[in-house]
Amino acid sequence: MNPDVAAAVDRLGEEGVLTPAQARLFSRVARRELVSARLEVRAALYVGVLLLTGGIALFVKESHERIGPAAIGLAIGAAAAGCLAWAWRNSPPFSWGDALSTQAGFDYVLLLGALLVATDLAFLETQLGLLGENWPWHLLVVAALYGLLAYRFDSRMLLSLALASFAAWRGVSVNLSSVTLGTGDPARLRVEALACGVLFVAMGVALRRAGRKPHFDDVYVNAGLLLGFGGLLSGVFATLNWPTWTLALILVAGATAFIAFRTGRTLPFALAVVATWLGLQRWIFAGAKMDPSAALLLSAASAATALVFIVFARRRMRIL
Amino acid sequence: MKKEWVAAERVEEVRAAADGWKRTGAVDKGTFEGVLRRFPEPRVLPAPIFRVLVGGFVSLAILLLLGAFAFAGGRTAGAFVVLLGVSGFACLAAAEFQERTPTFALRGGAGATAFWGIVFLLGGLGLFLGETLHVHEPEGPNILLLASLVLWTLAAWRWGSPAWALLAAVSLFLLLGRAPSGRLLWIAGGVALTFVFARVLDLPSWAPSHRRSAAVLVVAGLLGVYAALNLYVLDHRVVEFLRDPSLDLPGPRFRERIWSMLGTAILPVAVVWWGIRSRRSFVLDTGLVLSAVSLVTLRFYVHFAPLWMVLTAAGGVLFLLALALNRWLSRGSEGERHGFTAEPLFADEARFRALELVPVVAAHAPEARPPAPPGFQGGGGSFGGGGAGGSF
Repeated sequence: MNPDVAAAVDRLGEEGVLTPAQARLFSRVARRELVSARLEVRAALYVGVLLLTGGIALFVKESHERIGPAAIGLAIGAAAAGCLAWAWRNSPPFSWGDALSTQAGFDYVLLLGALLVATDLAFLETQLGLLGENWPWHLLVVAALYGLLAYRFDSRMLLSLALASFAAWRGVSVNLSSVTLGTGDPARLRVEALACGVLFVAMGVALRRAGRKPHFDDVYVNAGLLLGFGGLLSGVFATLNWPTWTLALILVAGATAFIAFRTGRTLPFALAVVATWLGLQRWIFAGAKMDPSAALLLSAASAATALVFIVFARRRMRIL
Repeated sequence: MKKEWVAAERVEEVRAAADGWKRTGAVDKGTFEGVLRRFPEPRVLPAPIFRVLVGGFVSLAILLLLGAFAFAGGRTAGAFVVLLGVSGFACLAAAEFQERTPTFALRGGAGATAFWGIVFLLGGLGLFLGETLHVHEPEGPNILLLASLVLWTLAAWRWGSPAWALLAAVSLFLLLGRAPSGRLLWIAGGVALTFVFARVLDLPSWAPSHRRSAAVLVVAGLLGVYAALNLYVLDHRVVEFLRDPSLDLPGPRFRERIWSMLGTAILPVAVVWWGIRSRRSFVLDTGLVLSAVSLVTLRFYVHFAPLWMVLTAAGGVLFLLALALNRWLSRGSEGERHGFTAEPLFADEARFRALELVPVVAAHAPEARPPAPPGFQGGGGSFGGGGAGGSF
């Protein structure tokens, strides 16, 4: 029970701000006479998908030689088709605007179907070697599949996976817990990350302007900025030519922060501030490497400056 | 907590509820503005990302400043004790100042300074006990845990953060675990925490943040009892390990194991039942998590099927059960049964969907393609595209 809200609802009902029907419903919720189990249902569905895909992957790994690729491929394909057919039947018609299904299980049945198709494709490619030495192209096929499903069923979840798969095709890892862009030549990965970043941001902006799923643009822009800043920071911390990279980072982050400030977007603004601060640390610690105490003091001062900037910006920012 | 802080929190609760009504279209713009006029904003509440940013940069500034002083000052234990003590008190004073000033409260900075203030004080006390007074096992850690319990409790009482209540509960259980009958004390302490704080969850005289802290303590109490009862924890002597990792204890007795098995099986069901009866979501969620842990414990001891089958069956059953529950609730009279509904009511589902993207991408994004070695001849890649991960 939330006694403060319950008392407020009673008062608002008596003063005529709320209609009797509104006051009754809000009061029931505040007094815990009506409780939503939506979060629990969604969490159970998501954990169910995790367990199912984990179990199927393990089964395929352990049994592919015993059962044979054709049977496994068919079985996974049939399960995926079942999920996607259900999603098709229960989805609202396609629209370039918002077209979210109101069914609690929809997102997860769709996710399960998409993951099973991707697993099936990867399995068949592994077993049959259809693409030969071009096998990484199956990541592009998976990205395209996720992208198509994301647009058809209005799913940001699948769009995120599409962008991550596309980046994976280019060899760039979208892993927030990792400090590297992937394995291989760092210079090539930096270029790939920057190119993916620019492409994603450009797609987000272009599609929003064209009115094609404009609500997807934050997924494109945030993914693009993550990759772009990741590429620039990699240049700052892993190259000899780091002053140029730092300058580039500051320019890009400054432009991002300015646009984010003007458009009231908090996450791009935060990414720009954090990336700039991280980039400046290279300068500070390189400049004061003989005196760690001075470097730490300067670094603390840079954090305090960032703090002042954030507080100043927040007061003036019109948040969407 | 000061009276004006409590009053501000109560208004913020109402405004947050009104936000939910407006977001879901349960009230129109005029009604929403009418509510806001009657409950004017007492303190500006920045967007969550700004609070995280401010908290993060305040933490960075504090830690880097402390590091600078530590490098510049004397490298003796005594100097570090003084530095940590002074920094700790300075941070706590800064936290109090921010909480007292409406323009600084709720910005993320007060929480960060309070957290580091207590951590520094505890660090200083630990160094003082170990290096200056040479108080070692078992008294030293006991005094430190007692101090931790007191400081986090005072912080939770003064500033009303559930996170401090959680840290106080963790300190309490660590302290109890160091006593000779640690396991029994975990059960007694957990039961006491649960029963005492369950009684104040709806108390109007308590501040909203104190009620949230009480909910955290109820969950902590339930987890403490369950941890003491769980068969795996008993067999591996996890609680006894807290007292002395070098203790060579005999395995649990048969009767202990029987009680533990019963506890592992019954407690989660009892908690779920309590959650349903009381319609408290956090109790229900705790019961569901404990049920999952009990099933994992069962699987650890009883290998009734291959792992892939267990995972697939558990996933399938969970998925179908969730769909069935959703359908059952939706088909009730006015979309509800026994006070539960499958509708989101006034929760911010858009935010939940946005937050959901992070674990989905983390769990299912395919691994980046590896660089092609010179002379690579192809022949298939690694199984894992589409998020299955791993090589195959």
